[in-house]
Amino acid sequence: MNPSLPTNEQRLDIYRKMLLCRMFEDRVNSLFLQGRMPGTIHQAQGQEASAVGVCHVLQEGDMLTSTHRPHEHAVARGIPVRFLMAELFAKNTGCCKGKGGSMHIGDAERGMLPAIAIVGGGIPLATGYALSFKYLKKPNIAACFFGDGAVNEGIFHETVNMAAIWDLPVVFLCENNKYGASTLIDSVMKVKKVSTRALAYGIPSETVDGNDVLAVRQATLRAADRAREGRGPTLLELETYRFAGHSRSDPGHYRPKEEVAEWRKRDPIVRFETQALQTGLLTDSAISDCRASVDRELDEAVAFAESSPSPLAEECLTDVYVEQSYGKA
Amino acid sequence: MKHIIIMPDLGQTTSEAKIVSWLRKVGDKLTMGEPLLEVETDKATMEVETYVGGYLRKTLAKPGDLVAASSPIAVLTDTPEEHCEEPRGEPAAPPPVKVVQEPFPGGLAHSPGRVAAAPAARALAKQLGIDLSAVSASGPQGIISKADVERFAAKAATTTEPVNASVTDRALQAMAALTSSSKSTIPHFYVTVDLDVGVSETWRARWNQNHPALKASVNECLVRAAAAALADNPRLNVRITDGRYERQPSANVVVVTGTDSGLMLIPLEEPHSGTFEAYLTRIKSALTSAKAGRAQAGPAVAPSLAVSNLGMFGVKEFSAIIPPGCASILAAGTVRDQVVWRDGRPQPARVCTVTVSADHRIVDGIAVAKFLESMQFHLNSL
Repeated sequence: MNPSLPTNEQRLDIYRKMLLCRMFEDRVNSLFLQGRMPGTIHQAQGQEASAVGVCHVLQEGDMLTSTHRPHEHAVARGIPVRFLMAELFAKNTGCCKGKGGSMHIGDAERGMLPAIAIVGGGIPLATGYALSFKYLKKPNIAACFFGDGAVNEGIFHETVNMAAIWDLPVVFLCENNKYGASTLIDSVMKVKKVSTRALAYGIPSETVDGNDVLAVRQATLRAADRAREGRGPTLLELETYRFAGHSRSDPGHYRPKEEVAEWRKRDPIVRFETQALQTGLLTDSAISDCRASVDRELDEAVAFAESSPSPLAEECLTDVYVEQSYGKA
Repeated sequence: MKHIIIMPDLGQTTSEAKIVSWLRKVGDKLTMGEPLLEVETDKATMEVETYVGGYLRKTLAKPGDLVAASSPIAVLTDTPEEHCEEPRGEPAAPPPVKVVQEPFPGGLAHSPGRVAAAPAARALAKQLGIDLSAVSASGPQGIISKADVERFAAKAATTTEPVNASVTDRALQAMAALTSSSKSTIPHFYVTVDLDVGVSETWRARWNQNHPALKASVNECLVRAAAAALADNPRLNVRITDGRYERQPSANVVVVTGTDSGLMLIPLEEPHSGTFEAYLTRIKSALTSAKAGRAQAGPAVAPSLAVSNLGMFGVKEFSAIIPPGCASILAAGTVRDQVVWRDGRPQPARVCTVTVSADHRIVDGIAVAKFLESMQFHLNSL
């Protein structure tokens, strides 16, 4: 057996993480519809395989950056959902003490920088982390999620090129869900695959079925190994799809109904379940038990969040600047 | 168990949405996540799904209603028959639907909220410069059709709304129609100057001391001086009617004034003629009767210049939209003290910043500049 393939225990963990991602997003939508949760939300239902497949490879000390659609990345990275939920409720028990909200969830101490909503904004930060890992001779890598909308930003080209020439330990992960907000990628990019871009920087790349969690995991493992061995960055294109609109205020009318239906058939969670039922990894009762346990975890997270205090006015300016001396001790 | 469905906060720039249609009817059984209604936000028309399963028992708002976010819009119960009314004597929940009144403050530059309209109607309205919020809908569910816009355009072209209409809705509709048509058809340009009002303000103070029963306001002085300057500058004293450009035999001015029900345009015949005393009596009586909703008898005047003033609110300067027919509008700010550099040293001065918006089809910048120069002269010799 290929030692890089996940064990059954790991597969079950992957499955539960994907369910937690999906059900977290569904719960957030429900809370929004009930008027209990404030704010604009960018949801990622449908992209669980990408989030979980990548994060399953990351180790302690590795650093992940994310986008304006960060909920599933944070759940997959293992930040406890109660801290994420509290952040979305703008409570001071949230992972950013309630001052970041939906588009800035993350926790550097748990391996994910608070997300950056600016398109492409996480790319240079991840690369900066990679530079520091290399400089400090740490065994860690940086990983960096961005959407297809980011690959035509200047910062993408400049940063990937720099990471390439310095052989930095970073994995560039393009979640290609076909639409930058409402713009179809084919209308803004001449090459057919984002992965083709890697040729220009002289780094390896792969286009991966981003709705197949095991394929994502294996590709990320190859890229992460290269990075840890000092062989430089890799560009992975994860082809996936968001079931919802760009944000809660976008009905997504620019997408053909047949296209949405086609991608719904490729739902990463249903695919995993179907396969797992065939191989005997999962049973129907195991699936419903798992859903019930995720539901309980989310109930607890919502209760925790709703009963938490709001941020205090005195805390407005805390965590804004870091006081640190860079001189000799 | 009873579940209240609320209007979610779906807008990008507003927190209200219009109900387009109910996709399910009272009595229907719904499952969680099923689309329940269609709403139109400032950005898009979209479906809203129910966050809970159950039987739809009541809808609390109807298609066409503009509903504020978080207002209850429907009631679901777990079973089809269970009681869903509030017991008597207890505070009523769900609270009544908050239907948003579209705000329309008396500013000339206001853009009203999104209204429900067919795309073809929207495109036509845009082309004709018609504000859709002024158009009444005849289509299903209060959606404005292309025919509604055509009807509105035809009516706006043939009827002359009484300019001093005091019925709120009519005043608002007239303002919406007039300003959109002006701003989209007249090529506006703007000339701004600081008028030195030191002399005229001293003169006005003395006048008011001597005539406690007939005091003059800053605006009354400005209107008088502007009319005199208009008479001096025939190039500005022109009107466009039916695409034809006509020089005016007399210098008439229209004063824009704000009332509780909106803006009013009060035409004055030759404000610079006669004694200052007679002029003041005339303008004050015209303003009073217009505000009371009475049209004044008298010959119809064709003004070529409008005067608008926000100085009494401390506004420093602003620019205004030209009323249809006029060639220009003068927008006056507040009278303020300022230090000016004069004769090689700083000196105190009283100034009033005015901006003239003019129609570049019939007026050029030099005509406006000369008019303003002339107005300064007349202010100094009230």
